[in-house]
Amino acid sequence: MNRRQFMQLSALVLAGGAVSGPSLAVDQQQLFALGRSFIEQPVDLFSSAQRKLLQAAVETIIPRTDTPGALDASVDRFIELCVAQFMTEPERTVFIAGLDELVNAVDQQQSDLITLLTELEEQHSDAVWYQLGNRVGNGFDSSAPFICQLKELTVVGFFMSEVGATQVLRHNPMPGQFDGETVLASDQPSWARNTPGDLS
Amino acid sequence: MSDAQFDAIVIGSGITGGWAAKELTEKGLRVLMLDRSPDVKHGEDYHGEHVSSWKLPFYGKEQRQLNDQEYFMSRHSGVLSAANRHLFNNDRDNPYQYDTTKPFHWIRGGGVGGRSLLWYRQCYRFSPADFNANREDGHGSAWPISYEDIAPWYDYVEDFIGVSGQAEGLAQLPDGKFLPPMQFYGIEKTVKKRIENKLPGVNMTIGRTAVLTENHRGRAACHYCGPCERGCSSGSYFSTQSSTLPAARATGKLILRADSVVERLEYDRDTKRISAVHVIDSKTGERLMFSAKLVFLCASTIASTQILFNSSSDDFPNGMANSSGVMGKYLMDHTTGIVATAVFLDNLDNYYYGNRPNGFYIPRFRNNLDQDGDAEFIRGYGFQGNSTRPHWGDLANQKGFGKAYKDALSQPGNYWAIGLAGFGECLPNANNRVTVDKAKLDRFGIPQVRVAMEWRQNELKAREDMALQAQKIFRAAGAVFTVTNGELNNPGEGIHEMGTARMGDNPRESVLNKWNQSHDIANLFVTDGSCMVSSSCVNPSLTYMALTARACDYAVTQLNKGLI
Repeated sequence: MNRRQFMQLSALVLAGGAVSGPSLAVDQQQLFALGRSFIEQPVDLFSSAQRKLLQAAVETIIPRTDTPGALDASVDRFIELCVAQFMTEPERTVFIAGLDELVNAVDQQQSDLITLLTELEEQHSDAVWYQLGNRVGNGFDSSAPFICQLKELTVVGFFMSEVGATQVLRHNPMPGQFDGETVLASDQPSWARNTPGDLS
Repeated sequence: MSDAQFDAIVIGSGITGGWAAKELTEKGLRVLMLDRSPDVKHGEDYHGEHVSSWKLPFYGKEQRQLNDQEYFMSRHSGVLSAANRHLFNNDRDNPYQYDTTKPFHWIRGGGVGGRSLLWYRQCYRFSPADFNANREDGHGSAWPISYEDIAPWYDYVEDFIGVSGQAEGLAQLPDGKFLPPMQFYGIEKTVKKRIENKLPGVNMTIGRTAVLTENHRGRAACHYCGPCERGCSSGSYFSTQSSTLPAARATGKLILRADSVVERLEYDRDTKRISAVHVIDSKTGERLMFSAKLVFLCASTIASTQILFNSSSDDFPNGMANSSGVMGKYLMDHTTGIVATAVFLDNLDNYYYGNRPNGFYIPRFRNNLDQDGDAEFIRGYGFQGNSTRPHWGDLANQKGFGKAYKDALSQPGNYWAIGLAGFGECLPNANNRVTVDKAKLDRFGIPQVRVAMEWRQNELKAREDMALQAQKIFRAAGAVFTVTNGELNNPGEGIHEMGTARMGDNPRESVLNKWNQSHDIANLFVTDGSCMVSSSCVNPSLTYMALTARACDYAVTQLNKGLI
């Protein structure tokens, strides 16, 4: 089905008021699945040692539990793309230096990764990134130290990914109605977002 | 094509150009609509519509380097993204001038339909008091029309575009013809009850918005996907493409010519009419000329003013239709921006379903009947608010790793946040103005505009008051804490620029008469925001639409009587 056919279908469905429930018709689900994910494009910035460390780090930040984790969502690949193409040169320098320091520290078996990451958070606890009122949105804090860069991109790379949005959060691109007073169950995940900067 | 095969030429295809094309064609005129930008076809050119987050470049994080270089004004809109960049102006390719120490940020559309595809869709009527304000306090000049003159046209426009909202019976915010209102969040119901109990004179209503809450005139009700600004193939919000353009096309009398930059208008001294519209095809560079009995200038405030200045001639050495000398002056916008954000611990067992493309509104409550004793400013402002149940983006900036961090971020935060944005009226001031700079030419060789505008004492005093009142409102509403924000937007960022070719009864003090017709040139009508005499504090697009429809009715009547 091409885009024009999709438009016709969606206009038909909507005009007929047929969208009454929360779920999408199978046809439409297939339509939304067309096109490739951002992380499917090639990138070749990191060495294998850097990649290995990055994989361990993102899985430490967001591990697989009873739901998928960062590696299931290829967060490492998202971050490599961001460092290569999204970051400014000074930001990239900070990130790569931080990553190399972690690689060396782990190589020398000074301590395990979670201890190293925790120490980094303590060292940089006065970073603006941690201040009340700051949030992870569409922008990027150029002054952020490596540990904050890493956390921000891990979080975005996870919750905006197909795995994070559909298997960890709840994803419904075509709600069909608005209700501002639904009942919130205690273990209910948030809705997936259209962009990182969305407010609600 | 230079033969007079058209009865009217409409310059611009945004909110007012679309309305002019619809009205004039429906009254039987053959219309040529020109737009400087590439065509945007309804539906099929909304490339980012319903695109999943994981398909967006960098999952939707702002492409800062691209925007720094090419979209450095458009980014201030707050809704620019990879999903709709093709609908925005390329600021590198289409420059203008301003004093960088007093920035004016001009935010433009970049496709046919202009900002009608990108607007925030709020629709409020100016009140009777708004039309009297200049006459009463002496700022600017008097409106040549009253609320009664425009009220039937508000009805007409609302009925066609579909405006959802709640009638409230407030003098300062006249009710319109509404589709059913959108729903409040539970927290908003709580807050509304407390505010209205504790603060007499302060009201809270759901935003009145040109988004359909039920099927309307062949357009489908909103499906609450969220990001309207990517375009809407079900036509659930008003845009040129969803609403006025199909109506105009249905007459068989419209020709739309995209990629057509209007360089200047030509005046014929003998007939005292505009005799030609000179166009440069932006793709081929070809120069073209079109003629018609009527010209409707709807290019947006600053662009229309630019065209008139660039159409100077021996007859109009200071700009076409500018015998008064006021053209370009009295540029207005609204002060905007978040004034305060507050946290609430009520309604925590509530969540939501669907993405509401709308907020709530606290209409003007200052200086309403008389000047308030404690107000150090005249006129007023309104608050537009929205509510947020925090999600991972709001919760990420904390220490921690592992399962606990993941679980905390996966679920809604344990509070509600509400932000209030203030929209303040801007007084007309002759020193806030648009001119053209003949030494600075754009890529077509057309002199660029220069914009000079700054907030003055009254706007600044009102902005201070907003912070105080927002805190008072949040206190009454039961907030557990409130953070105020003192930042003021740069002029232009309200994206409500208006006033540079104002209407008036006196041809020596105004550019347009009470029908949006040039005092100087009978076949020239200007119906975009440049016609505005004062700014009110409410969003102006609905008023532009009503004035356009009214002007079209008058123009065709005059044309049929042989008076134009």
